[in-house]
Amino acid sequence: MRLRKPSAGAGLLEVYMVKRVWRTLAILVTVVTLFGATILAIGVGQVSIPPDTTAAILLSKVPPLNLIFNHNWPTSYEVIVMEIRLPRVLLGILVGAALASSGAVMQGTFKNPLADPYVLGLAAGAVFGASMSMVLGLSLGVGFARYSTPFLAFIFTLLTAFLVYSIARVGKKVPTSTLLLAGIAVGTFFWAINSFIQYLAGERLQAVIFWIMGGLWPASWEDVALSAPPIILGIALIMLFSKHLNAMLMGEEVASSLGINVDFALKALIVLSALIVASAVAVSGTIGFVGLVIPHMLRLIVGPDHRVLLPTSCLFGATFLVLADLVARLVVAPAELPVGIITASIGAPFFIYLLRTKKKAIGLGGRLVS
Amino acid sequence: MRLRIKDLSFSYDSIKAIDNVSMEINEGEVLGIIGPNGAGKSTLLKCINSILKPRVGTVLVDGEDILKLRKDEVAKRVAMVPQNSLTSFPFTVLDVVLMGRIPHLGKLGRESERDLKIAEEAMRTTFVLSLADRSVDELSGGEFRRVIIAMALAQEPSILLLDEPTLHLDISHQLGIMELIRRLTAEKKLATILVSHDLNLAAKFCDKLILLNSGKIYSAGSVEEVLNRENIKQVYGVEAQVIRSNGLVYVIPIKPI
Repeated sequence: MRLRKPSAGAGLLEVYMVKRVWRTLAILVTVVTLFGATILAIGVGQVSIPPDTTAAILLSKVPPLNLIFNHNWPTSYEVIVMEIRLPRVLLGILVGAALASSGAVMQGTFKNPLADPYVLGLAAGAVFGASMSMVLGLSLGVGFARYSTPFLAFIFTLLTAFLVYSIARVGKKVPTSTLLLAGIAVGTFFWAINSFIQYLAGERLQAVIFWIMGGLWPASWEDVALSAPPIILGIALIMLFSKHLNAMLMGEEVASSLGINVDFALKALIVLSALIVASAVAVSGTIGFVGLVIPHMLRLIVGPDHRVLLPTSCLFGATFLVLADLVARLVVAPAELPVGIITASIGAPFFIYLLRTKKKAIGLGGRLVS
Repeated sequence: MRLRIKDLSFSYDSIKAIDNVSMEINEGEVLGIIGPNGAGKSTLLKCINSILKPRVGTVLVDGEDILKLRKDEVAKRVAMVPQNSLTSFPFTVLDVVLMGRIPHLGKLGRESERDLKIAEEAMRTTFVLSLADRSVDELSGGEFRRVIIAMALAQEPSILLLDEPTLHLDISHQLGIMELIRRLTAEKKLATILVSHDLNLAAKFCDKLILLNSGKIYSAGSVEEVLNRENIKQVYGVEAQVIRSNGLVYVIPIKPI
């Protein structure tokens, strides 16, 4: 982070400590922002609940604190908070965190500022899986029918990742340029099939289109329970590769001579990223622009070091999606918009702004030094 | 003996890139590897750095076979300044030099005050300390090369490998970098190996030369032993004039044969 130039004669230690304080502060700010967004999003809606009541209801569910809070709120509030809005906000947090952190990882892995969570053709694969269930009626069978769409979306996202990876593999290596091309090719192929399925879809077309736009409205505690373990575990494991990602941005030879097993790190990051994206897509559809824009935004503020970029992107991605979902619920209330429309309509202009003004900070002003 | 390489061979698929190479270097010595394109110079460096794993041969650093060590353990002993480094993301000079501490860091990757001291020392000896807060993509080619050398020094290696350290630099920076390498080799008691296409720079700054041809050592020894008309003719296929004056050797290429 270069928020201020060190004064002449300032020691390196001082420069470093200032930087570290700023980094810690950045993480703290994103935590607090997320907490605030959570309270706000739970409180606001057709029935609005004051923030302090929202906070009290939430805290009263935490074991050591539940003795302090008197239940002096209407039961209906508690039902709205616990059964409707909290699972939805939690799902927003999970999906936002998953998309933003995998976006940051993909941009780092491919050394390409245009990479996003769906760069390997994953969105096309996810839509293919979802369409199979929604249009062709493929189902998990009696009792599990409700899970058919998320399950097939999840499976086909992972299958697409696997397919792209196998096509791109050359011996033991997986060159990133081949990966990108394979991702585009496989994605294009799946989109063709998707279009064909949509052509046949008839009255079910609307459901598919809505799914493609992405949304959090089917949110239930089950969705949260299903998507939380892979997303949380995946993000935690990705963060262990922060220093690897940093070094890999300096070139594979540099990373390799710093003792990093570049092949392994690359494979692990791609697999983990595909896993968290598949989990997010399964419960929310293909929400765009969060994964592309949020990491760039944070790179501008905290710099390119993944040890701070990953946690802040993840937290701020969560905040962004929770707030975008809130807007999606409010603008055409009592109906609601697919949240993908909101994220894209905020994300795209912001990205254009970045392109016009901050090319360098997002990694577009670089050069090959040899 | 800092570095002892014995009977090293390496093949890409079926093509033999390194064929039975042996060599020794003491601390404080700079060894130059020269040879035509495709002779296996960079491949040899990558084998010494254990980036490539040769099937045959040993690479002993202070008596220890590094081909049997984990990659991060190798990185604590051998540092490499590669030919190409990509910098499209705006890391600061300090960020990059601290990356040299990666093999020494724990799982969470946090630097201690000691790591910072080592980075500071590395930056001071390579004259980039004043650039600490600058973004690496704003640096000149010479500055950037020195930053990468500082990063390599922060690894606290006993072997320093450089792949064409003067590539794309003007003559003043070429001399500056080569003098820096000589000084660091003496001060830090390194054994240094550099690959170069610039025969005159190699002749001026290296203690010993190895002339590589098709993966084999064609000639090895002092600068005077290796750089002669016959060797240059045989290996490079170039008619050259070799001038010796004041203990230095100059090669002037005349025409291809």
